[in-house]
Amino acid sequence: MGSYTLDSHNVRRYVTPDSHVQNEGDIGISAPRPYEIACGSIVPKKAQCPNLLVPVCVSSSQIAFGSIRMEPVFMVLGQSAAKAACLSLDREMAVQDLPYDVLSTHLLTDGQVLKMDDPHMISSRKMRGEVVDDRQAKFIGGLAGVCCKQAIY
Amino acid sequence: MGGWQGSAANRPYIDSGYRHNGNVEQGQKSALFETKLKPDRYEVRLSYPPNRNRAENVPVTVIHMADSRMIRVNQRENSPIDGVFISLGQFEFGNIAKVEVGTGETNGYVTVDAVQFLPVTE
Repeated sequence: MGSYTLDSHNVRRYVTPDSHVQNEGDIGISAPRPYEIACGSIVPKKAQCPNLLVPVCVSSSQIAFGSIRMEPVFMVLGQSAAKAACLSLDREMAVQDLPYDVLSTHLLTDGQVLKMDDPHMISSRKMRGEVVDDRQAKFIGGLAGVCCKQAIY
Repeated sequence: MGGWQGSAANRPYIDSGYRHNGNVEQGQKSALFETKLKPDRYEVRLSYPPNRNRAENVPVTVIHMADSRMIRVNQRENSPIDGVFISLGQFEFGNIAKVEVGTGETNGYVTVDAVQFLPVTE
């Protein structure tokens, strides 16, 4: 699982036509809660390489990797990859053939967290009547969710 | 910095997070909550995550039938109903219900999270 902000730093610095220096290419948007990282994102296709696990250069978008790229997440992915490798060796099978159920059972026994419900979340689905969340609201006066490295309020 | 910004920094909120107006451009921004309803009488409730930096005078307008009523909400105070909602009153609605959260002349951050339309059972 990961939880860090979707955080990619400036790509370049340039001078605008009116001679101001401007940073370009930064994004920083917080993740509302921890999220799951799919096991498949560290397992290459079998036809490409049957016995390789990739716990750091995972298959993800650049934006998602801006959040995944934290040491604790790499530690979790590393533990998962090592466990998958050991179980595959014991069974003399390619890492791609190891059933996820087998891996997840071992990871849970070792104390890894594979899912997390937000204990504070209040779900509109459990409420009476009609509930309209801000995700369904219409916002006037600028785009919703556009921000850049700000203090949180 | 313009626009409405998403956040999950303060609690409580319904579903995933809420938005705030950045405490700038007062009067230029608003948020409209709209839904279809079975024509009936409903209690309208607004949820918001309170904080000391919020506006004390958020203009919230309930648009019902051919009429509308504006209520000022103090978003610094804890929400009175279950710590989540404040009641805006009871209204008769036709097929469509609208609630608009404005930012005009507000004295702090304006947040929008969710609106509940609760059928009033006699």
